[in-house]
Amino acid sequence: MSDPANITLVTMDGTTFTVPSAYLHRSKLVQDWLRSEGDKQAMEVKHVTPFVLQGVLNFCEIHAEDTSEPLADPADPTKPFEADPRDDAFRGMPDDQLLQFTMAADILQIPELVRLTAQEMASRIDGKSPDQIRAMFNPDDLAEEDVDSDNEMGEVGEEGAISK
Amino acid sequence: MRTPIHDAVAVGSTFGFAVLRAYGANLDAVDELGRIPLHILLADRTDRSQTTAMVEFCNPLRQQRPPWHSTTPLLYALPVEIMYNIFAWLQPLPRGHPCINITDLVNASRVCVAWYAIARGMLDDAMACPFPPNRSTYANRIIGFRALLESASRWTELRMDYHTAVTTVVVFVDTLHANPLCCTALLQIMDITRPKRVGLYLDNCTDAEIASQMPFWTQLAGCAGSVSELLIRLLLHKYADNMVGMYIHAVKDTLSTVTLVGDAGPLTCSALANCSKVDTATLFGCRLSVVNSPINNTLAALLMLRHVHLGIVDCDLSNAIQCLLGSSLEDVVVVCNSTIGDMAVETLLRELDQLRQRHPHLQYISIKHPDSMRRLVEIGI
Repeated sequence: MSDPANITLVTMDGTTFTVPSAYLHRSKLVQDWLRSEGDKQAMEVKHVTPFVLQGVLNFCEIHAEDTSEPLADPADPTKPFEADPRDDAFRGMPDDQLLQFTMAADILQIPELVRLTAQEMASRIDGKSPDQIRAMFNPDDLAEEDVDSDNEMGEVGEEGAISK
Repeated sequence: MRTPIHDAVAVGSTFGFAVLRAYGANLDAVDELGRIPLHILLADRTDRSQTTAMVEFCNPLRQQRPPWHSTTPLLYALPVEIMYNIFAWLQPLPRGHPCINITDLVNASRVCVAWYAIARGMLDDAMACPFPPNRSTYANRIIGFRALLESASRWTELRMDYHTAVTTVVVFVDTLHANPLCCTALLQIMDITRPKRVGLYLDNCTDAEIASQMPFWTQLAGCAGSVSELLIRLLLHKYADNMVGMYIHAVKDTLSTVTLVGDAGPLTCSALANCSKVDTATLFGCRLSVVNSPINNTLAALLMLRHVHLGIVDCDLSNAIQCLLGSSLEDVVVVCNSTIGDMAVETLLRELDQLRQRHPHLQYISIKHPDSMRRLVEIGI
């Protein structure tokens, strides 16, 4: 049995991470799991790689001492959002890694991390044309019928200006 | 938290609903009122076929991947709720804000079908009037939006409905001067969208500028479509009167609501007098006190008028009120200038009282003070 003070998480390839449960007090998934009945030996976090889970746990550790109210709606742009220098590592990561962290934040249901990654994703989409956005997301796999071909037409660019 | 699938259900978008459902949207998500999409579906929809289609799609046995989902790229890996979170940050201002910049959301909507289904619901309010009254970015927005419409019309697989979503187009005539690219784009937008509401802003124009735009006005009148609401801000210029008169003549068969800000010339008034379906007129700054002025003659000619709003007035309105001849009149609101004297108010009251006796359907008369919008007199009949 795990110590109640610690939680063991198992990634998709079987790698285990044991961390203080206080780190994950903002994860709704973990909190629901702790409240549920049954075996509490280890919690499986499917679809999350060890690298990504390590990053998520780093975020949780950094913010473990935060006293702010839990975020109810990570999509509410009217809530003030000030960049925290402790999160700079997330802002500098490549697009594909950021995407994986976004998914992991959603899986673990950590609203603060969802907001951070979503805001960073939005800032990278901001000002880009559809083709440029697709290029950020694995363009080789897109079928022809899935996309809008812009080869022969103008783009809606920044402030609506046409760019070819 | 309200999710895209709530939006899809609320606007009755079977297509959007199907796409979101196919990509894993949570049907149990509750909005701020505690409603799941099914609650909205059953409460708001009157179209039974749409409701049935959505309910059937909720059935797991019927659920299938949409035909356009031939691959599973990383692009589709993010859940709908996450995409909604990301798109929410593309909106620099709260939802429904008149100055919202739709460019980034529109571009995101063009990435793939799933993104379109999510972003489209978030764009709903902004798309109805994509050109808010902001002159500084107007020309660029017009040109960019024309490109979007052209693109959307070719992208038939996604059934992008941006051309039908636009209901209001505002025309800043002064920004069109010496900008033929913007003129062409605007005419194309008008031709594609055929908006129901049009705003013509001529108040910053010189007579020479308007005179140089004769071909533009001719084409604008040519693609007027079925405009039912018209707002005109103008100064009394000879050519402005010509052009506006020509445009009103083009929409005379469908025009039902008109708002005039500024002193309208004889041609404008004459064209307006021929709009037999106008039932709502709002007049600001018109020469209502002059006997037999063009605008008073127009009021006399509009026999279907039901709602009349007169403001800001600082003088005797006897002539204008006596011109309200139609038998359908239901309400009259007069907003007085702060300098209006007691005598003028008394005269106004007397005229309105006589008006009430002449019109059996008149239900409401109000005289307001503009500073505080305090009602000086209100008569409910």
